[in-house]
Order: sequence, then structure tokens, then C-alpha cells
Amino acid sequence: MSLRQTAPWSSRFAPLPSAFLVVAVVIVPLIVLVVETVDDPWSVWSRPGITGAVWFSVWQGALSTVITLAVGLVPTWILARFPVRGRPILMAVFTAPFVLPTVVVGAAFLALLPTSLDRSLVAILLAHVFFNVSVVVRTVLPVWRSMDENLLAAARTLGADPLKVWRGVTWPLLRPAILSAASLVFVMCATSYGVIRVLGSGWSTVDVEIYRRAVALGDVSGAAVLAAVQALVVITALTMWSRRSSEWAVLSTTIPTRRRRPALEVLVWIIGLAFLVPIAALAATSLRSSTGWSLAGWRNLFGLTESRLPDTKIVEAVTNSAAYAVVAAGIAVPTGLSLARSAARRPRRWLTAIVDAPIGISAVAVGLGILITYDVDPIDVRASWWLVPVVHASVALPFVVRSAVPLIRSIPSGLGEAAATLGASPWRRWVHVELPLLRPAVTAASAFSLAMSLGEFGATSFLTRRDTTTLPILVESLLSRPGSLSVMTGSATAVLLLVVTGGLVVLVDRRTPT
Amino acid sequence: MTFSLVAVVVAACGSSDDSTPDRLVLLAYDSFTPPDDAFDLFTAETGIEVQIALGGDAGELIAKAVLTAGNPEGDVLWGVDNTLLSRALDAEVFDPYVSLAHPLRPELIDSGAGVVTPVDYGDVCINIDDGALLDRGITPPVTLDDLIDPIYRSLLVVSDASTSSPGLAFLLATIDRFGDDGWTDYWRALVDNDVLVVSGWSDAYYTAFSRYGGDRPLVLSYASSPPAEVLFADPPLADDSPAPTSVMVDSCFRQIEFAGVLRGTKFTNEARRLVDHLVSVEFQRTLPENLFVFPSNTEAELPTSFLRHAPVVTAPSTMEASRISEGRARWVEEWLTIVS
Repeated sequence: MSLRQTAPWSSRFAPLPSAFLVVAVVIVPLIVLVVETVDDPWSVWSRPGITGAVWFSVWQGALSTVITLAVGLVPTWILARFPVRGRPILMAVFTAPFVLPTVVVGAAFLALLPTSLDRSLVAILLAHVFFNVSVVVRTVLPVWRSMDENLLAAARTLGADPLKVWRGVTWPLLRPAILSAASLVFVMCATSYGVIRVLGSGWSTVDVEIYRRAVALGDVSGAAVLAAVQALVVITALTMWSRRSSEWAVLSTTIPTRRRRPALEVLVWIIGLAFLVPIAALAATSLRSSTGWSLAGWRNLFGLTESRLPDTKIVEAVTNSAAYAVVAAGIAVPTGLSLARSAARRPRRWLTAIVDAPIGISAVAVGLGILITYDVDPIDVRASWWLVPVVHASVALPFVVRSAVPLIRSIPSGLGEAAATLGASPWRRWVHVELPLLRPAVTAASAFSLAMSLGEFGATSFLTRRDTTTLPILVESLLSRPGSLSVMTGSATAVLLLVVTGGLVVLVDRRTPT
Repeated sequence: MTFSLVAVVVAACGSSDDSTPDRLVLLAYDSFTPPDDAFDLFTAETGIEVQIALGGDAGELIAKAVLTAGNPEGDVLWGVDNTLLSRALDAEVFDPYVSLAHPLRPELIDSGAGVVTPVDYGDVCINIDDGALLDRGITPPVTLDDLIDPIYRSLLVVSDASTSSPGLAFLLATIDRFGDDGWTDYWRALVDNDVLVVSGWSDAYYTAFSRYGGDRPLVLSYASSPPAEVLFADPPLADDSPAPTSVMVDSCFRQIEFAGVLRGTKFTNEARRLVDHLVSVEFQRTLPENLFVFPSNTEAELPTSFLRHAPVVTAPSTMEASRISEGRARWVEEWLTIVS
């Protein structure tokens, strides 16, 4: 205890960079937008469709969360507790959907679903599960994996039946991670925008209403009011939620050494393959010409064929996307982990709530806010290339922190102190004790950050880019013109986006010792 | 930390107020895809590079331009159309400039209100998958009234007037045709006839339209979509083969796109020269097959693909900017209550 009280200044200020990032990129712009544009905070609530959108956001978000957890915890359990062949591939399969442009996923779902289910609630729920299972897997799996096998064995030896082991040991240990994942998924689904626009004919969330008011109706004031209220509600809810999940996890140091279970291995692969179905549908679209099958879309994507579509500049798009993702991860992972470390040791609820803000704030509002906040020299950053990765980083930050906190909690704090007692310098403690223990957290955090950046999440799609094509933008631009070759090339680009993301995630996962 | 460090670096290499800039920034919507060499001539003549900055679809572009009026993100804006122009005019987004450097269609110039220069035009129209209709033994619809006939029940997909620019254009076409009193009844009848409303153009065209896996043979698109269907077909189609889709000429709404000098640019004269370049014959003749619009320059010839496959729309619906400005928000909200 005494050691923690005399923590060096570096750990006391550790959470500040991430808080600064979010305040500067998300919170200040929202406040500026509200201050500069709102003239009447009340009138928007009586406009048609607003109350319906609020109600739909809430119940649809809750329903999506329950289903996502139910679906996601099965592969999480199997991958966490049993050796599974092709594990890195499965991890990539469960992570990749997170980055797919919603227009593309929407098209894949519409192609798969029977027409009667097109643009129905079922379609929305399925898409939300598809997108967000990665949140459950990425947040819960590392904790479950690091759960002490001896603890479970001891409980069993003492005569506890499986249900009792689950209720008495497993659930209390997993609860913080599961609640954390659930709150993220809920906010993601309640503030869903792209999925609702593509799949939800007639349904509308608050985020969709914000877009509609700001862009189509020219009512920026109303949009800013909705965005501010939504942000306050989400941040408050997440803060209260995190109070309930802030107990410490028990330390664990052993690695599961269970036997293979072929039946479970088959099951997890079946679930994995089900996740590949929409992706396969996408690949099929990239190969389907108006008369049959053809590689023309792929040849055209790589400039191997004469066509009258504009040059895709594919190398440039891949390079830009990857560079943005790496820069964003380079910002989000260190800042996020330093907050996570300090939040894991003692609750920092308000700080974590601030860092959660990007998930709850409408992308449109942030995008517009940035435009009018940082618009005078010397902080006229609107034209800077790094604005895009910095915004990516702030959007990824909550996912970085939330995937890392439970993992860091499960690291025994005593180890560092023991090393200190034995005379290790802070630097040696960091390199030889803490860093190896942080590895899984770094992995989870990097995978999230890379994936979110590649998929152009949220506010970033609303920023103006100069001479920089990225993969998602290329997909959108190809899908904005008629002709079979356009849609084939666009779908091929989306598949490529997936492959690049999957590849990066596999690469990151492989760097983690098992 | 990173943020402030980089900010300092960027500020340090920021441009100063030179009289001639090294480059101009042209703001445009995401699907603005001119050929790579489209600005070479301009650069050769002026020594100024043109950097294209993309910022969302046309609606998002204008929303951002309105917020940043007077302190813009670029020097010239490409792509405000007549359905959105009034918003830009109300917010004084532009420094008035109408290019007289090249001969432009006079009726287009008038609709720019003396503030912006017309760069192209096109028509938003219902497109028909002729093969699919033939298979069902149904004759193609001709007038807007046909679309509420039970024969065409569940055949039409349109995009959302509150989130997409063709959607708004089609709503305006029905208001122009049926008047302030009649359009709501027309839309109620369309809804009764099971019109499908989807979010945007690509959702309508690539998910609901029968040519691309959907079950609706009538889709809201553009008069220039049939030539694109021929040009971008796979397997390739010969230039003289018939287009697989056709256009319902009676359903069209004329969209005119403008370019303007953004108020607050440090380089007004150069920005005006760039607008001149945008309406030059050299630039304008690339428009049809790249952006699928018709050139505003009367001397820019149409390519064969357009002459062959794009229908001549003689009497499209139109609407004055002032009427759009006055009615748009009210109409869209009313429309939303009808279709949802």
C-alpha cells in the first residue's frame, strides 16, 4: 500500500494524455458546436420522429446486446479455455466484421436474407450481432484465458458441480469484463447509424435523426441539442455501469492446459464459418458479372485490365489506410494503456467516463464541431493529414481502455512491488515485469485500434481528406456509379479491406506468446 | 502531447500570405472523380497545383460549407446543386463569381443567382430494368400517375428524401407536378402501392434493384445511368449494343450543379481562374463519362455513349431556388411522416 501512495509522478499523470486526446478531439468540439449553433434547445423535441427514435434506440440497443452476448460468449469460452486448431484465424474471423463498411455489410445481408426479412428488425439485430461479437470476444477472452486453472480445479476437488464452479468462481472473475463488453455493445447498438440507414427502412435511432437534421434539414441547432443530450446520457450510464463492475479480479498466473475437445473445436469452427457467410456473399458479389462468374472486378482493382472506370489507385489506398491505422494505434495504444493501468489500480470513474465519450457522441456532431473549433491559425488543423489518424485514435481509445483494464486488473500488483523490494529500478521493473504481463492487453488494444481505423469509424468519415484515398472511401466511390463492373470492383475492394484487416490482426495476435 | 507537438510543427510550416499560392484546394463530394490529368493544363498555365479535398456526399459537403462560411476549408467548391444552393446562399458561403470565360447554357446560368457558375446538369429519373418487366409481362410505366396503378404494385424503389440527393430531387419532382396540395396524396398512394424507400442511391441500385439481386425493376437513378450500364458492363458490351436499362422520361427532375469561389479564400483571383478552368471545353468534355452528367459548356461535345444511350429529357421538372429554400425542410418533414 505504501508503495502505491508514493507512486512516481509519471503514474499519477499517466491518465492525462488519453483524457486530453478525448477532450480535445471530441468533447470540446461538441461543446463549441452547441455554443455556436443552438438557438432553441426545446423545439427539436417536438419534431416528428424524435421520441420514436429515442425509444427505438433504447430497446433495440438492449435487445441487440443480449443477443450479441449470448452468441459471442460461446466462441469466447471455447477459444479461451481449450486448445483450438487455427486459433489465430478464428480470432481474425471474429474481429474482422467490426471494420466492414456498413453499406457493404448491408448489401451482403440483403443478398443473404429472404426478401421477407429484408430491412426488418431481424436484419438489424443480425447485423448488430455480426458487427459486435468481436467486442465480446476481444474484451472477455483475454480475461477468461488468464483465469487460474488451479482455482477451478480446486473448486471441483472440493466437490463443486460445474454450475457451482461457474457461479462461485468463474462468473465473479468474468463479470467485470462481461459487463464492460455489454455496456460497449449496448452503446454501439443504441447509437447505431450505418446499419440502421442501410437495413432499417422506417426505423430510426437518435444518431440517424442527428444526421437527418444536420445534413438534410439544415437544422444544426436541433442536431447539436440531440447530440449533447445523447452524449450526457451515454456517459452517465457508462459511469454508473462501471461502478458496478469495478471489483478486482483475482490474480492468476497459470495458463490453461486442458485437453483438446474435438466437439467444441468443431462447434467454434461452425460459428466461425457462419461469420464468414456474409463475407463469402461479398466475395461472390465481387465475382458475379451480369451473365455469370468473372474475375474482371479483381483484375480491374489491380489495374490489370482496360476499363473505363477511373484508376483505383489501389496501392495508394492500401498504403494510406495502413499508415493511418498504424499512426492511430501508435497514439491510442500507449495513451490508452497508461490510463488503463492507472484505472485498474484504483477506480477512476470520471476519467474512464470521459474516455468513453467518443462511443456515445454522434460522429456528425464531432465532425462538424472539429470544423468550427480548430479553424483559426495557429490551430487551424483542418487541412492536416494527421487529423484523420488522431480522430481515429480518439474513437478507438475507449475500446483500447476497456479491453485492457480487466487484463491489467488480473495482473498481480505484488510482482512489481516484490521486484522493487529486491532492488529493481523502475525501468527494469517496467521492462522485465510489467511489460511482459501487459502483452495480452497490448495485443487486444492494438487489434481494436487497427480495426477501427481501417474501417473509418464514426467522425472520421465526416472529415475532409486531401488527396488521400483510403479503402473505405474507394469502396464508397465505386459503389456510387452504375454498372456491373463498378459493383464488382467495389466488392473486391471491400474484400481486400477485410483481408488487410484480418492480416494485421493475425500479425498482432501472433506476437503474443500463448 | 502528440497533439500539441504536431500542432507546433504544422504551424511552423504553414503557408504565409503569398500573393500567388503554390496550390489551390478544390472541395468536392466523394464521388468526384475527374481524370488524373484534368488539371494539368491549369497547372501549366498558372503554375498552381490543384489539390482535391473530398468531404462526404453533396449534402454533407454543403452542411460543412455552411458552418465554415467565411473561413472555408478550401478555395473553390464543386458540387452544390439547385436543391441545396439556397442553403449555401442564405449562409453566404460563396464570394459571387460567374465565369464568363466560356459559352455556357444560358438557362443554367440564370439558376445560379449570379453567385455561382453552373458546371453541369443531369436528370434524376426512374430507371427501368426492361428485361425484368418483360419477364413479368408488364408494360413499362410512362407517367408518374402510372406508378400508383396497382399493376406496378411493389415494383418501385426510391431513396430517402431526407438522406439522399436523388431522393430529395424526386420529392421535388412530385411537388412540382402535383402542387402544394396534391403531392401528399400522391405519396400516400405510392406508399399504398408499396413503394420501397431505402437510405441512399447505392442501397436502392445495388440491393433493391432487380438487376443487382433485388426484386424491384423500377429504381430511382439518373438519366445517365443507361450509358454507365453499357460503359461499365462486365462482360464488356459493344458500344452500339442496347443498354439493359431505360429511363422513364416523365419522372425526371433537373439537377444543376454549380462551382463557386468560397468566401474567405486568400486567393480570390486564382480561385476564379480555377472556376474558369472547370467550365473550359477541355475539362467539361471529361464530365459525361467520369461524373455521368451533361456539360454546361455548349461547345463540349457529348461522347457517343451518351448520344446513343442517354435519353433526351425535354421537359424535366424544375423548381426555383427560392421556392425550394422556403419549402424544403417543411416538405421533407411532412414526407417523413407519410413514408414512415
